[in-house]
Amino acid sequence: MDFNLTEQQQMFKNSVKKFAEQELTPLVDTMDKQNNFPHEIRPKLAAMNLYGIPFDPKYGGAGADHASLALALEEFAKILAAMAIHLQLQHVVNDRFNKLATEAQKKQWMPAICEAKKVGCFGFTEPDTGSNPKMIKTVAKEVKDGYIINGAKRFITNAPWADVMCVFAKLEGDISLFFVETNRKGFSTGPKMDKLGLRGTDLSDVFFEDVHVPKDHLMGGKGGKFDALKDAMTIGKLCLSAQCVGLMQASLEEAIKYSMHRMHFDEPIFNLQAIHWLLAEMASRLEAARWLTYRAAFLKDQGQDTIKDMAITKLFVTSTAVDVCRWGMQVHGAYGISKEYKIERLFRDAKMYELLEGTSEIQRELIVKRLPR
Amino acid sequence: MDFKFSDEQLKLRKEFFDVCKDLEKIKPKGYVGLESNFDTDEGWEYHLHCAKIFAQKGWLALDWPVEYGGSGTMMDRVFLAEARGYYDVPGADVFGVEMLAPTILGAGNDDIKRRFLPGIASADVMWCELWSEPNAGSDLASLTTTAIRNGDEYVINGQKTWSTGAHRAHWAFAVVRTSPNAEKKHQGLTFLLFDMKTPGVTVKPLLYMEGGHYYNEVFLDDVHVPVNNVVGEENKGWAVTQMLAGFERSNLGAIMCMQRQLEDLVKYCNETKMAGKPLSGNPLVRNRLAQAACDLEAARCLAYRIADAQSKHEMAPFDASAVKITSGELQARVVHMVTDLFGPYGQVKISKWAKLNGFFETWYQHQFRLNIAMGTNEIQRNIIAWNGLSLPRMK
Repeated sequence: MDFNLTEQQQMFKNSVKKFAEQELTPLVDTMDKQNNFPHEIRPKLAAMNLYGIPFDPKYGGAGADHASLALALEEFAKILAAMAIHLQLQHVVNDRFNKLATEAQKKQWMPAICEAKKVGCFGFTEPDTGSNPKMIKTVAKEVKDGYIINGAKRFITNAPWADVMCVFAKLEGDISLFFVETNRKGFSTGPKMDKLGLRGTDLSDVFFEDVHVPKDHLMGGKGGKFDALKDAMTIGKLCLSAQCVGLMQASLEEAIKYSMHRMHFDEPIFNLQAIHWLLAEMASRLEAARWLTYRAAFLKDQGQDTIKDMAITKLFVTSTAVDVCRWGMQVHGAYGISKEYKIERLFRDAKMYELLEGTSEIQRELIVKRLPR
Repeated sequence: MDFKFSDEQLKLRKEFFDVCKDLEKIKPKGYVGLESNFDTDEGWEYHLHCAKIFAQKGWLALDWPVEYGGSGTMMDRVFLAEARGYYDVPGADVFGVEMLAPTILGAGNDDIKRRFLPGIASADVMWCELWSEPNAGSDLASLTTTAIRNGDEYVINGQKTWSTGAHRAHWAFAVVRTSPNAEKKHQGLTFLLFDMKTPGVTVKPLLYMEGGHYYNEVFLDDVHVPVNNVVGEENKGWAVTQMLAGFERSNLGAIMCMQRQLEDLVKYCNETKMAGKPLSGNPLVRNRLAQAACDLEAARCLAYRIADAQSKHEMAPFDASAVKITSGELQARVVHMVTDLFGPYGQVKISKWAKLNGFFETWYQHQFRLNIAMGTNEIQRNIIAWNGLSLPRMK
């Protein structure tokens, strides 16, 4: 076993940390307070090749590993988790192209997304189904020159301004995956949703009304794409977990900083045992979550990741993040709920991670079904 | 022991619930929790409207002595709090009716009672609390705002913070330092009342995490207050603040608020289908709802016991702390449960996508203050350890 980062990973982590501190800090108000996405950041993300971390350089990627992806998302989330979500979504879309598209399609879309010339979004959640994708109602019908898609998707990040969408639909009764250019006739998005946390990530409904796509937009052949969905969700869960590690690290750092300065009973509250217990608990849970996440990234890079491993990681890390950020707020006392301090944003953002890529309840079901009996 | 209410009590309790049920029907859109009073003009108007109706019925002075308009008992006041909590209806000024009035009755002289109780009972005067300071929250006795006596007046200088509704209130009750050289910091404090329109009072907003304006910073620059506005005695204000703090934490209204949340949630789970089946048929959901119901019943029993003790003047010093922790932490668990059950819909602000009118997206953020305000739960646990379990006193 070797728990150390490689020299390359450490250098990458350091450079992303510096980038996030410099470039993302000024964007916090735009995203969180104004609920807007700052498009001017996209070329800078591309210049650092952050959209393409684990992908082959011939498709515009950086050729790095998933551990590096996790480290980047962790550093982003320490500063601005909503931007980390944007980054994650581009990886999930590109990962679909990487695994299921033709060579020509890969060359058409992946470099464009890595270079921030195009934006992708990804849709399986629908108004009547979230964590149970077998219930999806969006349908595709084969016609002479392609497919006609009808249906609606919900909670789609980046949808209002995406160029391409990977969308799951039922074709001949089984789940298939298509990519759809968003300028096709019949494709539309609903109004932007306002939400609790991870604000500025531009979430909306998406509607398909007789949207026609050519035959080659069916990704990986007809049917059987429930597995593709599960695969997409495993990388999604790794990405979410990495971001939660960043949130927890930020929460701990904020709590320590505040407690060192806040005077009560004639001394900093850092000296009070009640605060010691909170900080110690936060630090302990953070470390456990960090190494569980890094292990998940390691398994992914080894090709040994399983649904169970990712569900365990996601369940533990996201629920721990909610606790750790709540304790961070508790350390801040009344100031924890004030807009003047960062901790309230971390608290709101943390809750969102429990709900994405399958709620905690769904993760428990996935885990139990795969326990040895 | 007798866990039942009398027929007379049940009749009055029903009347409270009926009136509040009617008031709920005219609640402004987006009104969530009693602190919504302070955020919008519509919320404040709604609060004043409800307050006037309660005042006309004599309900704001229920357990006061007859000479000041009282007509009932402490338990009657608890029933009204339950009805208001259940329907999330304001109208009883938390600072005037719930805190200051019983404090004046316990520690004020006849002049103070005569001058200030009628305005509270008639809902003509709304109050705010000026206690916490930037460096004195849970450690309130460290406060540094001074009130220096000058003839028949005090001249107040300092800064208060986390003052709920100070931008709406007509009058304030404050605790200030009148004897800066007192040997111990708990000594030399005085509890006094003043008009928020007094020259030198400046109110600035402190926005909550979702952007709501409930709290304020209040700057006091050469604010002149007559000495006959002191409640209790000069330099003995700490005892008055302690008396008032006990009135803050009975919490049956908050528990009934949770009762309503649970009922709404059960209805939602019965009516909502996931994967073609009612949510209420899901064993995980049923398990969590049942656990919440058990926890709520335990909290309600504890709160009733404390209300009963309070009505008989038998309250132990740590009783209020116990019920504050129990109800505040239960509310946090209930909100987390609901957001889990709603999944991504629990994150959406009030809109066509939101479930149960988006109440829980807002309440997820609001519930946090319950375990912070009026002494954090860490402080409450210290009080229980010291006062209840006779453990050595910490700082």
